[in-house]
Amino acid sequence: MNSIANRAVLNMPVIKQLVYKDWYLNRKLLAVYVGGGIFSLSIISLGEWQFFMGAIMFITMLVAMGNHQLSVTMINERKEQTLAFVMSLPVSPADYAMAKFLSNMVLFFVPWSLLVLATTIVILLTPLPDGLVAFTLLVCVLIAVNHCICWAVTMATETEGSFLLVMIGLNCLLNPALYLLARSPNIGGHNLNGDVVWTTTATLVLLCEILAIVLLLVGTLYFRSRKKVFY
Amino acid sequence: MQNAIEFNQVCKRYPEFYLDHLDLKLPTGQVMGLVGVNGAGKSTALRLIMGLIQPDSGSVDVLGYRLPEQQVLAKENIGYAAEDMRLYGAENLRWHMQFIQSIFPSWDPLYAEHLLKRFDMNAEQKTKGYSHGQRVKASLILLLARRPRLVILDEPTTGLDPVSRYEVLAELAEILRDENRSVLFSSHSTQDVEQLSDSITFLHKGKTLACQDKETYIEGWRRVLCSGTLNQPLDLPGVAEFKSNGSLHEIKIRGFEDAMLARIHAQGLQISQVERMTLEQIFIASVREVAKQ
Amino acid sequence: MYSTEHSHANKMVRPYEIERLHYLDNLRALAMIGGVFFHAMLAYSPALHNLWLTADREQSVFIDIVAWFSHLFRMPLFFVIAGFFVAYLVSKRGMRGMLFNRTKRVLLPFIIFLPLCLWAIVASLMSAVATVEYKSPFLQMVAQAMATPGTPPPPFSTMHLWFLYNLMFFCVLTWVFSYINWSRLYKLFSAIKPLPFVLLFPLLLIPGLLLVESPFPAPDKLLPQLWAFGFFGLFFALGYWIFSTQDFIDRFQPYCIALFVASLILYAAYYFYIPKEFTFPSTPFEFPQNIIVKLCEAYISVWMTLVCLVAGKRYVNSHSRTMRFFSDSSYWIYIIHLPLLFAVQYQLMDKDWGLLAKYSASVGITLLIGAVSYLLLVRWTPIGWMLNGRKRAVNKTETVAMKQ
Repeated sequence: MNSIANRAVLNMPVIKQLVYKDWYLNRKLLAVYVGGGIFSLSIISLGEWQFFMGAIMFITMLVAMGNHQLSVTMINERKEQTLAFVMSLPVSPADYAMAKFLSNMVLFFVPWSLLVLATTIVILLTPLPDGLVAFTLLVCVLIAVNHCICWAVTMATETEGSFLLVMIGLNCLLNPALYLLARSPNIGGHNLNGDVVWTTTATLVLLCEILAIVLLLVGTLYFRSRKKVFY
Repeated sequence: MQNAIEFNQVCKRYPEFYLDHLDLKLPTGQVMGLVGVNGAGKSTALRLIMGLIQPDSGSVDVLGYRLPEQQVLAKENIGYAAEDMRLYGAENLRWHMQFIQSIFPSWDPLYAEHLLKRFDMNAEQKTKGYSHGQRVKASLILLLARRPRLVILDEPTTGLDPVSRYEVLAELAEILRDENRSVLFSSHSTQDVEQLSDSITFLHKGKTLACQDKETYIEGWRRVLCSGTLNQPLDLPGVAEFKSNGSLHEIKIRGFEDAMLARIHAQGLQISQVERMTLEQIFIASVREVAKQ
Repeated sequence: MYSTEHSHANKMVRPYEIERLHYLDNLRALAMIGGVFFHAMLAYSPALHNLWLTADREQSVFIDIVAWFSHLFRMPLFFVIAGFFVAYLVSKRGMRGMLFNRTKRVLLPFIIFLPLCLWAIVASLMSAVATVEYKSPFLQMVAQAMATPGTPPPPFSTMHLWFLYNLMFFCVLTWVFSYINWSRLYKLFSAIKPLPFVLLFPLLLIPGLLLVESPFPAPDKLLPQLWAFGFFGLFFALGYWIFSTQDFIDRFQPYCIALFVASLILYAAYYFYIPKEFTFPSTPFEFPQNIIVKLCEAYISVWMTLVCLVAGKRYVNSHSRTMRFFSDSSYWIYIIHLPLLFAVQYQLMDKDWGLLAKYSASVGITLLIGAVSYLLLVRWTPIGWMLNGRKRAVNKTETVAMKQ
């Protein structure tokens, strides 16, 4: 029979409903993060320490929302036995993986793009040294890499323990990574420069980060959709 | 007639459990009860039907689709409710109904409202506070209002209070009138199976003990009470259980024929009573027979 | 399908009948068109002379007195009405419907017209730098900066469209805050007597006002401004709740004149304290002047907003084709007015006309071009559908919905 054809085609209408469902179920949390995000943006222009507080708060909101969304849509679904309900719908494991990919990634990358856009504009249009652009962009993409790692691990294991472990591990590693980027003469070295300086090292790091994101997302989706069954 | 479900020599091995060459056929429009003690393999069988697990060998076809490869197509027409299935606690039943409706074009809103009334359910209540009975009824509303061609129910009546159980069984009896709809439900309540099903399948430790039309199956069993002294072990085919208490004996026989009574008599026993057995008695006798072997 | 979340909001809603909405439509239009009059005044304001692009040689203190008075309640009034209509949308279409509608009517025009307005302003500025003889101090500064390479670009501004940008934030925050149970606070609000309200509500605005100079500037930055949330946001919230409290505005009718007189008296004190010539960055007020100024701002803005609502309900609660045209065109006129007004005022800067003539000409030409362009380019085109919705269809459904 045409089993291969049936497997290859994703059931998009149902995937769409599953994505909406994930967002809808999470709407109160989202509201809290959106509110927090707007608040953190609104205090940025109040002064110097408020700038740092607002920026860090916004990044915290972004990372926390990403992690919260992962744990609610994937881990809780298994823990609270609502996965059986989803599995009874006309979805294949590939459909399910795609739904989880979309619901988690869109929700993360929309505010993330805002973050990138806003920080770049703020740096370029305010007295902050424009040389910061390279550093902040690489940090923003690094945060996205971290989210993708968390997502991939959660997709692969679907256990709370591994999710928490990876999340904590990545957050701990973020600081040394920031330190390394800031100390690198070709990246952080230009932070106080008046003009944007983009070096080969920066390109290299950015490419590595993007490659990591692509590999994580494509790889996870590929392996998940090869699974014929849920269990 | 096409079979709604067709298992062909299906094996599935787990560390603690082995589903052993299961053959199972559910003709379209029939109701089959899947009976077995806990751990007999009922849930594994149902998961195979939903395409949630992959058989190690053999083939599973449901509604003409090969599983698990074509699970999406099959599941469009299967309504499935399992005992361990939970709804989203923070939402109410109305939301779940709207969600299912957005996925299944076959959703029948009028029938859904009818079921709500019939089960005396409040659709605006969050499902978190549901009792077990309400949860079962909610699942049934969600799957029945889609009017699926095949209904799979894992332990639908387990743990229900008598009133809920009556309501659920009555509604199931109602939907079974539809000749195009097939139902497979597992239960360890033989009473429910006896009441609802056309055919039964006995599972025990991953093996099929019986898979037969209900009437014929029950008709094939007798409990014979007799007295007298046996000089040698009873020589009779199909004895599932033989109990003696002094000179009184109780024999449970599978594949009963009238000629058997003469054979018992010929071995020196006086027959005092021959009675039909309930499904529950048959079930217990079968399981204990296997346990002895 | 996801509409169950609004049950709380629905419970509170007692929709107004269609007749009652006209005065809000008209008031909103007045607030918008008032913006044209206000911005035109700034060219002749002595206080803003050093900071305004089109600052003219003709000046009058009288302009300052009127302009800064209207500045205190024009946009607060606008946000009360905006909040009211958002509540109306939520009750009619649910939270999702409201967000969708506001995205179309508010965010989309903002995204489309901001670059166009910026371009128009910069273009007319360039030409003014080259052609205007009697340059304003700010224009001179721009000319100097343009002549000196390496001058940092001016800070980004959402200009007169800041209210759209802020309104969109308020709409999103409406959704965010809809998950909080407001019923107790709302009960308090709906039962509050006029006197405690006019005395207490303005105090809530003080924290927001303390974060910013006086008179408060336009929150025209790309990053949202906390003070604008605490000031305009509260007016928006007030309007949101007025929607479900049917007789709220009527309660203040007996106090209308008293509030107006009290506002004038407070304004005298306020005007006394605010600088007669604004500087950038502004010099902060000393204690206790700052508290007095902020209290004046808060009380005048709330009282005068209430006065406008009461007066609007009594005097402009009519519905005619003229009023309809006025209210429909006001949005478009407001969006395009600033580049137009600047272009006109640059031309007038070298003229030796009197103040009144210049002022009337700049306002008159701007409004005329606005109205004609509305008729020709907007009313029956997709721009009009975006700004005001499709005329006939929308009217009918609104009427039906309201009657139900």
